[in-house]
Amino acid sequence: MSLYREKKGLLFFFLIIGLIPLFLNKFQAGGYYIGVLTPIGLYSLAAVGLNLLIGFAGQISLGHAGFMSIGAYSSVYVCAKLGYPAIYGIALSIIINCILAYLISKPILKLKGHYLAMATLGVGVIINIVFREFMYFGGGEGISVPDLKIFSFNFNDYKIKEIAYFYLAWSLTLASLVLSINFINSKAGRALRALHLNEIAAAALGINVSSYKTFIFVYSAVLAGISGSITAHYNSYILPSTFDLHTSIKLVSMVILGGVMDVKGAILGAFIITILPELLGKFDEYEGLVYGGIIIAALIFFPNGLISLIKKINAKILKLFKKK
Amino acid sequence: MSEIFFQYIINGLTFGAIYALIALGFTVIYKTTDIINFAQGEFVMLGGMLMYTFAENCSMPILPSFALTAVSVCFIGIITERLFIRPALNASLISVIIITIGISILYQSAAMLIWGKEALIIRPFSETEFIELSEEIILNVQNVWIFGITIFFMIILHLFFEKTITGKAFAACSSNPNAAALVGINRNKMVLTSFAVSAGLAGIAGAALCPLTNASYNMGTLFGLKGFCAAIIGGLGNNLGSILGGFMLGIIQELGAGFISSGYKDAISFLILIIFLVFKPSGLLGSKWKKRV
Repeated sequence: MSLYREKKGLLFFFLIIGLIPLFLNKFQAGGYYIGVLTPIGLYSLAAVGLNLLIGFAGQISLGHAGFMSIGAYSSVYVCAKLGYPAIYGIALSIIINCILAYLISKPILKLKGHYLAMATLGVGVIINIVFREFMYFGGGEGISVPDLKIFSFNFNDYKIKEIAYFYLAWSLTLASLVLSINFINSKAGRALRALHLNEIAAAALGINVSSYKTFIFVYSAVLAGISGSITAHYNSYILPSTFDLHTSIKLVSMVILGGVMDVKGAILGAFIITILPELLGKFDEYEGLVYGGIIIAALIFFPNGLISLIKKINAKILKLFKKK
Repeated sequence: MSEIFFQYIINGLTFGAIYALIALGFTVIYKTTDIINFAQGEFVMLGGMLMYTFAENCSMPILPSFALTAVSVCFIGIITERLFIRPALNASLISVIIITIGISILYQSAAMLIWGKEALIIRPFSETEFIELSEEIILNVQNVWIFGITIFFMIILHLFFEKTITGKAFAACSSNPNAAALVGINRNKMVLTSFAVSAGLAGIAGAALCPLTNASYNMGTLFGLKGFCAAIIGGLGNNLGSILGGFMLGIIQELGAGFISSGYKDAISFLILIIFLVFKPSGLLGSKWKKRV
């Protein structure tokens, strides 16, 4: 698909998303649906970065919730402890995650496969335990987060909260998506794809393998951090358990379930993984059973992710139209 | 001081034995399939739960319920392989990781539905629970049981690999699958056996451990991860390494929990793992890393 068409399709998709609140507001339960869509946007933001890391750089990370928690706690530190505006908190989260991800990536990205999965998992678990044991941030009891105010505009104002966060989350996701697609189609992106296919061949062609891997790792960590910061403000209260191993696994499941060879797959995955528990709420105790079953079945029957299924259906529909 | 130290060492050896059993399970599967089974910890949990069912619900004596538990968990391992792993044997590494995580979620919630959320108490293996070694040191007999059972099954496993035809077929299959297929070894059968053996080992670990720690539906994940840590520390794919790694991890973790902080207990294990991965990814006994072109 050409770059132009891909972006056009993307704009169309986001136009629809952007219009959803206008329609939903007419319904009684509109607020509930928007309340489901906002976390999807926030997860998508983190998943897009992770998709680039897994799908294009070919690296695994089972520790990205760690970067989310760093984002969340830097927001808490700046807003609650220092009393500065929220935007500085997000800036701090970006800076810390840049430095941390860069430092971690140097030794860790040398590893491969299971070793890499386990190392990143370890990093995520350690970050989580440190926040749990660190009483300055409330330890395991959690800590409340001040409102997100950008120039006297308060996102947490109860009248507009859902709508404001909805647009904030999805516009950030759109921005990250456009950035990622541009990146994939740049020289660096082509280099990365070569790297994914065959790392040694890529290195032999003069591609600086490790610097590209590091760059993507840092990029994905920063996106996860921003997502974590905004999640913290959105929830008004954070617990270390919000960003534990399960969240890391959730993020990776989104990416894999959606499909790794397409950045848009991350959004599809975020949709499915976030909406599933909401739908399964009716199943109550059987939630985990169905949830686990769906993950296994989807991966066995659609190893390339569900986006490949959608593409197939799409192609068939187009064919039908052409015949007529 | 030295008494406390001794107590930590005993605890370390006990948990180390459990980690070693789980790590051996990882190694057995990894060698035949190159798969890391993230659901391994759930077999430990199922071992504990089934032990509760047989020993407490059905009030059977310890020995038959232990044997029944081991066989049942073996059987669950076989079902797992047939249902979930075989259709995905050729999928990409990360897909298989997520599938095994899915299996883990599935089993955990199934266990929650069957046995409930409360921690279940299982009676110790022998009547006398404690032995006083000296005034300060009190030995829990269950610790001795766990240690003994672990060593016993390690020896059995060793004999299985060295003396039986199936065991040798395992070795052939892991060193060169294609050549093994040429001489008539059925790889699918080997994969199935490896899942049975590995689930059985984890089930044994759970059944022996749970009288000490109680059994609950969500205990598996952490044990699985620690077992994997032990396997990597010892050198992934090396049986002796897994055992060494398990004991090392157990002892360091208990000493760290005792002398530094018990809250950071798990962080210490993962820190050791990362240190190993960065400085010696081949582990204690693993063969040198080779880059294949």
